[in-house]
Amino acid sequence: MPIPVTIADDSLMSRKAVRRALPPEWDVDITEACNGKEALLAVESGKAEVLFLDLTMPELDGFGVLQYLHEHHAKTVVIVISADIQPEAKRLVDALGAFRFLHKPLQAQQLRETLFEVGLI
Amino acid sequence: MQNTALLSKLVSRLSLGICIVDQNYNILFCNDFFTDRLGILHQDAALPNLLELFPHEARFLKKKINSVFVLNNASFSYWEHRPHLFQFRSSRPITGEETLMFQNVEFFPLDVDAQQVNTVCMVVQDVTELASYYQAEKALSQQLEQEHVGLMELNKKLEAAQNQLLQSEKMAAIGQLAAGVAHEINNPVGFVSSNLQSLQDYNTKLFKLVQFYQKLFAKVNQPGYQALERDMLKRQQFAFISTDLPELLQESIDGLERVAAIVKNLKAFSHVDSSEWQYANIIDGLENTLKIAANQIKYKAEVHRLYQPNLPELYCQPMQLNQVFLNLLVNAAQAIEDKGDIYIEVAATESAITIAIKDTGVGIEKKHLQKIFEPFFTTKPVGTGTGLGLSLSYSILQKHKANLSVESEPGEGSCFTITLPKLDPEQLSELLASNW
Amino acid sequence: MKTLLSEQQRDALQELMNISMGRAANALARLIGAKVTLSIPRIVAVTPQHFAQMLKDKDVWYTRQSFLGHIGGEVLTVLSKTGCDSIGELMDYEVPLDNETLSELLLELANILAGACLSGFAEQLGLNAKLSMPTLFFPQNQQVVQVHWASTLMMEVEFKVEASQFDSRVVICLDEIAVGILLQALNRLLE
Repeated sequence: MPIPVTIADDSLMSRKAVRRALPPEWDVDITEACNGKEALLAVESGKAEVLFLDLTMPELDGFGVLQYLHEHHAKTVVIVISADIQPEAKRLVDALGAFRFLHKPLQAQQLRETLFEVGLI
Repeated sequence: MQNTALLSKLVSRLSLGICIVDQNYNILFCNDFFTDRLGILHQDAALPNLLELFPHEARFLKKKINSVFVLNNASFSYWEHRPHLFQFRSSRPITGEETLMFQNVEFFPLDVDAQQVNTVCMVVQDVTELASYYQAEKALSQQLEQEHVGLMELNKKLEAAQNQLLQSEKMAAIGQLAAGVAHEINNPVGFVSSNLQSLQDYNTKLFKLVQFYQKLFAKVNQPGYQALERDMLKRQQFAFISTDLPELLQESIDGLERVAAIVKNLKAFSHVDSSEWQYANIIDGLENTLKIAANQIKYKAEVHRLYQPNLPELYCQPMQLNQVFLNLLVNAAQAIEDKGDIYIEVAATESAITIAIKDTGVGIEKKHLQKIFEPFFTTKPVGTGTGLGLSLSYSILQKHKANLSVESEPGEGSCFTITLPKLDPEQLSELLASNW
Repeated sequence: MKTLLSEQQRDALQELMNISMGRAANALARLIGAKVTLSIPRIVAVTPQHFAQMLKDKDVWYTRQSFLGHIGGEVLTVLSKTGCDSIGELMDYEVPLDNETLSELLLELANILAGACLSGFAEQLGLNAKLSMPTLFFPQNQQVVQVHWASTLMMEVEFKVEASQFDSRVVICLDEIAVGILLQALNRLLE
């Protein structure tokens, strides 16, 4: 059975980039979200066992999403993919329980390694 | 192979300094430009550590190179900020004034492995020519700037001098006019005044005569004639005339006295009568004047005296100066609406005595400040001031080569400052002679 | 010339800017050891009039730096006059800054920001662009600017160091030829 995965990013190009970087053999069912609220909706409706999350988004930003998931859905695997790569952002993201903090632009090889490390493939 | 040889020849002949270092600032390579100017024996000696080679700039070099390693981004050093980062001798040892080479340096990551910088290259450009040209240019523009400031100042002085000249010419012209007018008016005022005195005298006598006749007539018991008399008195408005006539005369006499006072001031203003020059004590003059003006001051202001002790005597026209003090003090008192203070400060310097008379009165409006020394300018109600006080003061002080300045803030008060130069009779007569 | 970006192109350009500016912010943050806040990138086509208007602020310093390679243009860095001392201190300069040191600091800051922005940007597009050394720019001293272009694409982002009340903007201006090349590269990326 395919794994429900959600890609949350306000940029169409970035969502495409994540799609393209996913290992082709990985059996997934992909949902896309354009902001934090849509991301949470996807989580609530069981469409996001794995969540690829951007930090700077309208409506509700990535930190807000992490905060909510941290309190309500600790089981969701969150992989942050961010253009803000300052140590401060990394520290916050780690504190809020994200599994990994990846830098944009996303490297396919790096994503594969990450998925392997957290045991998803 | 041939390419490599060519490349190495090019690098050695290049008129740019090239130096490559690793993460520990060890020099991996530098071209002839570097070694020639450092006196290192090329190729043979082991290349030293960059920081040891340039200990004076070690801190800066370290910072710059580190930032290139960390950020993987080129960085620059400018001759304006660090003219001689590498202490190379001037490129113009014979004709140049510079002893060291001015240089721009670029630091850039040379070989990078997966975002990891392995070596940093420095390229040194000799900009001595440009720098010295630029510096000469800058010196020139500074000189121009200075000259410009000098000229501006001169211009300002010229303008001030011209204003002063205009002011004193105006004063002189008015002085002459005033002297003429005063002289012409003085004569008629003289005989009108004396005639009025006589008229007043005759009038008193005539009234006494009429009174005598009335008394006499009353004693004659002739009711018909008496009725005629009453009728006549009434028709001629005798009762009114008998009270009005003396008043008219008195008013005329008073008015004429005012005319005489103005004429006297005008004469003083034009120095028709000049008082005597002598050595005198300024404080004595001020105190005498305060006594004269006591009636006008005592109900309005408290006088605070700030006199510097042991003031020297000054060669001056004491009576004239008293006139100036009187004007300023009376003005100060009149400027105070209800109750206030007048401060009189007298101090001496090496070359002058200054007298400042400051009040806490209504102050002078800015638009009036320009005009207060002009004759006939007054803001006082009609009949209270002649408009001659300050202009008179001004011309008296001019005769003393003194300066009168005013500072005033509406609502706060005014301060008039007299600066009287200490001059001996010879200097003064020389100065006055040279002026006319 | 009127540059009209499609929605997709604009989205892509904005994201590319986001990523490269994020890198620049990180470079600056590491250098000064303080958090740097980024604005959302602004991408606009400007006319010389708009451009001249931008250069009239009296409370800022301007630096300029040209770049050349596959794409060419100039990067303007606009640095607030406030907060310079504080940033200087963070960067290990002697404070208070004298004129020389201040201009050295400004050029250093400009170079770091512009360098990181442009290299990140060009790299993602598979283009190369090499920056020359930055110089201070005093537009007030310039006579009426005689420009040789009618319209250009300007990409602007603001960096703030709140701890120091310092802020700066990096403005990448492309020359007319570069705009075409950029669009081609963008389209390749979007395929």
